[in-house]
Amino acid sequence: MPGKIIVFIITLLLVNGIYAATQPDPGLDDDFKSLDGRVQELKKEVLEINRDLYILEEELLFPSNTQIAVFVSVDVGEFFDLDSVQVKLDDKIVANYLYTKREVEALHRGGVQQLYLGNIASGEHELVAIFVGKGPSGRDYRRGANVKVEKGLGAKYLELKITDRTIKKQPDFVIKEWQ
Amino acid sequence: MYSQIVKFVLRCTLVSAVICLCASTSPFAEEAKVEKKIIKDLHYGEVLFHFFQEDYFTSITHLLAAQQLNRVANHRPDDELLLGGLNLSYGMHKEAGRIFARLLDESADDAVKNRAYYYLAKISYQRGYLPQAAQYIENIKGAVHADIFTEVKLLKSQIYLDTGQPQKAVAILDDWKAPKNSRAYALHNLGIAHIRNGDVDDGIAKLKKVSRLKVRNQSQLTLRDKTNLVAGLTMIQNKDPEKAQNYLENVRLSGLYSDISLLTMGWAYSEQGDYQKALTPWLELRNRRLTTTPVQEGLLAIAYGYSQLGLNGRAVKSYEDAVNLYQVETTNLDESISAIQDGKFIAALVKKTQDEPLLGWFWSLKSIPDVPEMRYLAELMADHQFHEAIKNFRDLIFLQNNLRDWLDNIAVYDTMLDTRKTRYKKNAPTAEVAIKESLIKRFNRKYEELNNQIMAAEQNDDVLAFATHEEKLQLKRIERLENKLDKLADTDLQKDELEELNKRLKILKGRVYWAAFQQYPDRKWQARKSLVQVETELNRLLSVKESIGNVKHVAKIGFAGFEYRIAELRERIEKALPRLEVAYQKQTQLLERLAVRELLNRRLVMQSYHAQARLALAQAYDRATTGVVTEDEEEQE
Repeated sequence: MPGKIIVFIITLLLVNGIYAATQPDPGLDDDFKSLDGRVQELKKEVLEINRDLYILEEELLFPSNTQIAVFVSVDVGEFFDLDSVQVKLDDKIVANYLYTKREVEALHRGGVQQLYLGNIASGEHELVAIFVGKGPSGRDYRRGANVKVEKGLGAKYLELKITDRTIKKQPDFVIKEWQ
Repeated sequence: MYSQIVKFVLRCTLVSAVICLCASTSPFAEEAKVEKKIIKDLHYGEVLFHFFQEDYFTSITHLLAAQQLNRVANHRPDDELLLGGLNLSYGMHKEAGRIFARLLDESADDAVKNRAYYYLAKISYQRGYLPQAAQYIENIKGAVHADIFTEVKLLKSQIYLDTGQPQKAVAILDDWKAPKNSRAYALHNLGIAHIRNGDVDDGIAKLKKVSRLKVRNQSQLTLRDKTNLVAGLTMIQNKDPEKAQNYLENVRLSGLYSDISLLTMGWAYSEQGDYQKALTPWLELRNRRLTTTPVQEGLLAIAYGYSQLGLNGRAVKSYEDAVNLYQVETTNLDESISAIQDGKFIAALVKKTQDEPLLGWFWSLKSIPDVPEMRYLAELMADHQFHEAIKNFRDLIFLQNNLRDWLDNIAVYDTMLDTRKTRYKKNAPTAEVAIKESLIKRFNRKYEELNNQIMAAEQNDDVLAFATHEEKLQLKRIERLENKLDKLADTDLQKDELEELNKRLKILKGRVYWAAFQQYPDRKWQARKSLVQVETELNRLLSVKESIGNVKHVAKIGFAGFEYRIAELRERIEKALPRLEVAYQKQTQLLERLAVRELLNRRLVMQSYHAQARLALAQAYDRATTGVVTEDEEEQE
């Protein structure tokens, strides 16, 4: 008999403890929904402001007739574990970037990093990229790639691509010029 | 009576297991992992770079800008699908819904429509609008793209389970070999669907398969625990507590489900009448944090176990301990409620947002200080509403900081623009002077003269027109000598000598002509080439002049354009900041209210536990005074 009482008590407690919630603040759920909607609208507004500021900043600081942007991407990348990239433009270091694990993962999943955004005069320029990391068998690896680019009126986009040479089981570093 | 409890717990656990399952995976994040995108526009890849790091704010900003600047045209309509997904990940269900609905209106492509329906179903499901979610998911037609195939299957089964259609969920999941990273979830759902459909044996068989799968990460370990717990509870419900033990023993002692599993394990033993063994997991619960329901209930279960063993003395002691602990917990709750109402909770949360990175939703709960205002944060975070409110709270702090930073930058842009205007005013007149109209006219005239000279020489085959300066000098000297010899013809000089001199001069003249004649084609070509170069340079000069004219025109418009845009953006920021502040204040009040409501509910439960424990204690005292079992007898045992 006492056991049954206890079981009964526990039944009550289970019901109370887990699932029966009283409502000490009855308007709270409505307030939650209403405020959540308001926060969503504010987020949208701030994102739109940020979009316009982002465009303004680029047009003001890096107008297209002098703009040069350097991007980094990884295609497969089995034979190279990226640590850092250095970019020289006309023999002057313009970017030095050390990657986090999270960033490297994002590159491997198909993300493209904008490594450098700057200005150059029209005419011919030389870009040199130096890639540092671990090569096949985990050995230290340092390789460079260079390209001569002709800067015209529009923005110049360059992609530093890390790819695999499957037959040689070696990484390859290519600089692609986008039109 | 006891079986009813188990049945009730089982039903609730099954429901919550499915709900937790939905929350434990992010199909959208998985989707991007499945297929590596082929990048056709660099800026699309740049958006993905931030998205893959779960930096949704930057991803959305950059994607909106790229769309406006027409930089992702080669990824239409994937860019819109991505934008919708990003909005969803950033907690903007309304905007995500608008984007997907627009895609449905505008696109005729089934693949795009299917994706839009999937995301709309997902949004509706997350927000608890199950009939809408079911309607959207049913609209998915034809072959579903591999990207979302798994997610559609899982979501469909979850919707069927939650709308009380387990047979349909079984039909969806049975015979489907899910990909490795989703197999455990699919089997878990299938097991629950079978059990809900009344096919317990099939359900348990599927749940068993989950336990046998290779575990790759923490969330899969948690899912395995959950599966074993569900299987154990199902076995208890089916009056097979012995088998239930086998499943419950597989739940980790340190996982998310360890407390409820220990409590249930005790009940599995007690169902078999083995109260001695039942006490082992219940006594283990006593050493844990008293903030969870299984630990709180464990206190009563211990006393119940002792009383079933006839150890009334220990039962009384356990009830006394329970009464005391419930009292302590009630006091703790009172302290916490009071601290929250005094604003200490929000102050502590603000400090935490300053100490830890802003983006990303979860703090490390291990680092929560043991102060009244933060004592129940882990428990509060388990509540969906509170969790969402915390996210909004952190977002509002981030948005305010973001706009304040921009306000500082905008002041710098103003200065920069002023500097440019000053430099332009200084340099523009110099440039104009350097390329005057008269200068260009003079160059043009010179070019025409040279062109005419060359053309005349070509027409007359005038080899001497291209003679070198030296050759021309030599010819002049020869002519002078010829003239002198002519004058000497009437003098006393001998005719032979004069003839000899004339002959030598002719030879010399002939040599000069011959050299000029030999060089004529090369010299003519060089002259033409030089003329083309002069023409190119002249054209360049004209183009520079035109360009300076354009710059002058554009600069006037550009400066004014930038000035207008900067002023307009500053105004927008200044208008948004106070509204963000108001929303932030309301959000902090809402968080406090949510926390207080949850803790008041807990307090009510605690009071109930306390009252029940006191009642049981009184009854135990009665039994002790009537001498049902003495302390001596207990010692002997």
